[in-house]
This record gives sequence, C-alpha cells and structure tokens, in this order.
Amino acid sequence: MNPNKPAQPLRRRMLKLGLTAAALSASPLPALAGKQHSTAHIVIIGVGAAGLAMANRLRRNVTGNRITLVGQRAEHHYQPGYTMIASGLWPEKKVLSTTSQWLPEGVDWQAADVTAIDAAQQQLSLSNNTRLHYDLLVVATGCQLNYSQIEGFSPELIGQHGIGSVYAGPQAAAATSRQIEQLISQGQGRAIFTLCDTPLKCAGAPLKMTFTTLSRLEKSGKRQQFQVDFFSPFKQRVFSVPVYNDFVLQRWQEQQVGFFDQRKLTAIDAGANTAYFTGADGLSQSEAYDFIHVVPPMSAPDVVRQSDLVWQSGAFAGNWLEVDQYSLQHRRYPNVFGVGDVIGTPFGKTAASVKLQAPVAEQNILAYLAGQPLPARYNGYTSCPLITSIGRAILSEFGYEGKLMPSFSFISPTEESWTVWMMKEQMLQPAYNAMLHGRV
Amino acid sequence: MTFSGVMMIMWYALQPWLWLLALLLVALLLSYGFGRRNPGKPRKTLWLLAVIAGLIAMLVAPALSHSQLSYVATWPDKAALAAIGLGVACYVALLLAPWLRR
Repeated sequence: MNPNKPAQPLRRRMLKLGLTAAALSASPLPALAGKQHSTAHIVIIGVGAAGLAMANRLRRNVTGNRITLVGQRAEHHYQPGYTMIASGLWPEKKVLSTTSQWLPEGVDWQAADVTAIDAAQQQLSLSNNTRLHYDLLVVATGCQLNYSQIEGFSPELIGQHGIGSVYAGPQAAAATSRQIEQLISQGQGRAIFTLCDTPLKCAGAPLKMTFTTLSRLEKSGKRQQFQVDFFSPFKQRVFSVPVYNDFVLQRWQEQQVGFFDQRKLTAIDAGANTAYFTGADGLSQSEAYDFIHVVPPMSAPDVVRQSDLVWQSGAFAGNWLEVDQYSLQHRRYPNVFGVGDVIGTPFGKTAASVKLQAPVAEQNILAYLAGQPLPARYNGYTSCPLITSIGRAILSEFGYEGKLMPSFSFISPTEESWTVWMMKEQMLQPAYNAMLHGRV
Repeated sequence: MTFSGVMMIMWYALQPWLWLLALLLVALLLSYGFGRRNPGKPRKTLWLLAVIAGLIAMLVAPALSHSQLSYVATWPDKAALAAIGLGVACYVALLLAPWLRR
C-alpha cells in the first residue's frame, strides 16, 4: 500500500467491490469456465430459438470441433410476439429478423431441411441432396402445425371468411387481427375460440386471444352485441395448471363467455362460416360463426415422427421426440439430445422453456463429450405471461406436476398486474434475444 | 433468476434506447454547462415543475404501454409507477436547476 495515499474507508472499498462485481456480472462477456475440447462433429437441426441458442452456447464452450446448424428458414420470427400482432398492438416487422444475424462465428449453416434421420448410422439426409454424418445430434426442429387434420381447412384460409389463427406466422397473426377488426366493425356477431387436443406450443395463446378480443369488443362499447364462446376438447379444462385453469374459467363466466367442453374442432366449411365439433359421444355438431380462432393439432415434424427418434410408446408415441424429461438426452440414442417444442415432455413448449432447457442440454452435452455423468436436470420450467386483458397479465411460471415456480418473489404468480404486462410488452423480447445469443 | 441474468436482460433491453439515453445525458451536461455561469439557489418553481412532470409521467405511463391507470393494482405496479414518476421528477429538476435560479 502506498503510505502517502490515505486509506479508503471500508464503506467506500465495499462499494467499489460491489460495483466491480456488478459490472463484471452485467458485462456481456462469454463465460470463462466449463470449456470442453472435442473433435466430435455436432449437428443441430433447427434454426429457431432452440437451435440458435444451442449453436451459440456450444460454439462458445466447445473447442476444436465442427458444429453444423441445419435449417432452411432465412427469416427468424420472435414467436411470443404473435399474440401482440394478432391483438392489433404490434406491427409484423417487430418480430422479424434474419437467421444469419443470430449465428455465431465458427458454425457452418446448411440452409437446407432435413428429409430423413438415420439414427443407427448417425446420418442425416438433406433437401439439397447431401448427406451429413454426425457424432452428436441436437434436435431442435420446433413443432409442426397440422392444420390439414381439420377437414376443409388450410392455412391459406386464415384472413378470409372470418378465420384467424395466431400460430401460423406473423402474416397470419396480422390477418387474424384484421378479421377481428372486421367482426367489430359488423357491430354484432359470434366469435368462437378453439383449443386442440394435442400438446401445443405456447398453450396460453388461445386463452390470450380470447381475452384480448374481449378487450377490443369492450373498447368498442358494443360488447353486449357479440356472443363469445370457447370450445375445449377437454372436460372443464383449458389449461393444464389447475390454479390458472380455475382463474380463466371463473373470469370467462364473469365476462359472459360461453364455455363448451369436450368438443374438438374437426372440420370447417369456410364458405358457410360453419365449424364442426365432435363431442365426447362421437357425435358431430355444427356451429355458425362470424369469427373463429383456429388452434391446429401439433406434433414433431414428420421427419422426426418417421425416424427412430420418436417415442415408441406412451402418451407421446409416434408424435414427439423421445428424451429423458430431466437430462434432455435421448433415451435410446445417447448421442442425441433434444431442446424446444419438439421434445416429448409433460411441459416445456414455450420460448421461456428453451431459456432453461438450453443450459441444461449444453452442460449435459459437455459432460457427455467428456465421458462424465450428466449433471444438469430440467425441471419442466414453463412460463407464460397470461394476458387477461389488453394492459394487464399474470406471470404464470410452473414446472413438472404443475408446480408453481415464480422467478421474482415480489410478483405474485396468481395476480393480474400492469408490471407483468410491461414485462411482456417491453422486456421479454430483449430476454429472448439474450437467450438466442446464449447469454441467459 | 440470477442477478447477472437480470442485468444481461436489462443490457439487451436498453440497447435500442442508448441513443435516447445519450441525448438525455447531453441535454443534462449542456444545462449544467450553462448553470456553472449562473450561480444561485433554485427557485420554488423548479420543484413545482419537477413534481408536475413526475405526476404527468405517472398518469401517461400506463397508456404509453397500451394499458390503463386502473390496471395499476398490485404493490409492484404502484412501486414501478412511483419509480417512473420519481425518475422523471428528478431528471426534470436536474435539467432545469441551472435555468431556474434566484
């Protein structure tokens, strides 16, 4: 210590130490620990949120090897923003970016789709007629929207004949908003909202669309002129976590939303503005509508369903990627891991789930490459800011067995809040962007 | 969520607004550059203007976020709104202090 320099008071030194620590933890620097050297060729299928997050994380922490990202889509979509577009709050361009802008250096991007997976031979066939061998595979393809399973329906109908569907992309979300505007401008009519009977990504979206449409109808001052009905294929259920399910059903009762359970949307006659629902008794009934929000049945993409990587038995058989729900490692092919909407786990089909899954998969892949036991476990964390009207929301966060998992002790997981709405509107996209870069 | 995770998200959230923060900082520095040549105690009007600006910010903040004042219901909502009002009031007081001296 310099004897001529006065000693700093303890308070000032502690403050400096704290600020330095805060600055270091806030600094967008790569993690320094946990790097793994390997020569294994890692192939990641999928250029969505999960694929890009994994590419960034693995490139930063695995050295000496080749990493290939496979996926044709050049445009990247911030999917959690679709409901904001369909509610008339955001323009389409707010959710658009390019795949290339999220790609880390040192990752080969094959702009082609996978047409076949040969897990036994560790080989992929691509749409550009090439074959790709892998040592370790990360399946992050996202899920497939099976609109064709609804008779008479095709995605081209979205935006016509009073048909909307928030899931089909930003253009479809904008078209959905326009259809809702058209309904409101009619001054009266019937709006029907539906739910599919398969696991679905962002399971809160069908509920959010109902709530935001109710807000728009109330704002028009003609709410009483409109009949709003929700059709669920499940018995007294629209959401898998009881506390939120009960809240939504109670609120809809207060808002005079008709609730029809055990009715699955099976067909649409777009020209006649009629939807057909099949009840628990197997009988079909027709419902006339002026606006209908369609939620398609979902599954893993066909290329995964037709491969040996799909679940062979149980609730996810034939439809979703077979992984251990905790380690995210394939249960029969240990050199295969899954992240994102494609995996067959009880929960975990939101962007927020990817935020938790990606570090788990990364740690377990590093351990696998080092020949060590897999240390990380995914707890099923899923989050959905459940919009209950335009301007307020509930921060629903939960994991396996529907256990509530609030991130912030000061925000109640069951109270409607403007702060949560602000988080949805202002903070989630930055959080998503940080996740794509593998920073959180 | 970890502290570093929250700070990282804040950093990503602020990035599109760095130009605005820089502009506000420049305005503050210019104001103080002027103020150094005009010594004196702040007038009462300064505090009144700061309070009015803070209150206006609190009233319009929900509407600017596509929400409404009646949805500010929980204590974190009220704390966030108070923080917005306080922040705007402090900034206005600092900005105008060099100009409103006796």
